[in-house]
Amino acid sequence: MFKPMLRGSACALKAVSVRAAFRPVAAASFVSPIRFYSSSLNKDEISSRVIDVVKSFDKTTASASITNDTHFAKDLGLDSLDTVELLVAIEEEFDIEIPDKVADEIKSVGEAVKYIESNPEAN
Amino acid sequence: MASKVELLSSYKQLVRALVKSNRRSKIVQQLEDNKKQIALLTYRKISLIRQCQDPDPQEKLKAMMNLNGLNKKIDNLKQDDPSKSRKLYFYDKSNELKKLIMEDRSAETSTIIKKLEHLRDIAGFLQNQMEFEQLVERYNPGLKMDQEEKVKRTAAKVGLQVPDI
Repeated sequence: MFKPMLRGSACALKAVSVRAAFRPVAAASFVSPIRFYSSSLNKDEISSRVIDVVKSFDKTTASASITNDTHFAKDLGLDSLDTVELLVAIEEEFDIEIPDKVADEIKSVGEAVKYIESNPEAN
Repeated sequence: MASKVELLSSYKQLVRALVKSNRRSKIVQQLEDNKKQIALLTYRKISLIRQCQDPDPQEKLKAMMNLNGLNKKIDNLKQDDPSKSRKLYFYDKSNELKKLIMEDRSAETSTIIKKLEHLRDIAGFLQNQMEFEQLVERYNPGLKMDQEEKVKRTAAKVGLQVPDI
């Protein structure tokens, strides 16, 4: 495809044009499949997935009605160790790692959803 | 108070390592189990199909009904994807783990510190072991290949093709 275009041009020009012609194509084809950011995650999806995870936790007491306002300790009757376990499960679901300092602040479903939404690596 | 924060973070590391390493092996195990179940059900199905040739219409009807049930079961098993199961995000023996940790909270500070260190060591070991296994697997793709796949690839290497049966 590029051959007839390059035949008449000088050597230097050839090299430059070849590079210019190929680089964007190559870059695009290499980068695009890897960089798949979480643009597809919206808030409703995150919260429904978090709620599903919470529901499958067998230590929760009131698993029937979990909403964004559900508090881990007050509504679900979890102690701090259970909460840690739940957060690890949520980490696994979204394939992220929540740093300890942030994890201490997460005490309800809504807060977890908010953190995951702000994390670009979540998927 | 400081020890509480430390305890939580060590516990978290431990649970995380346990869940991650457990989940991987459990998914593999579940897939194997499903395969075995499917083979068993298929065998039963074949013998039922043989029964369907029974001259007695009532027997035939019964066999047909059973056959439908079996088909449904096989389909369910085939569609079952253990990697999506949310149960595997939790460590199933966490209650015992918790008891073990809460056992001697009133003990001396030095013993508690030692215990926490021990917990972190276990977590580190689990995580590194898992990483090691993943690397071994990645560098030796033949390890987990089944015989059929191996034969196919070996044949392909010398330009032959295994016939489809």
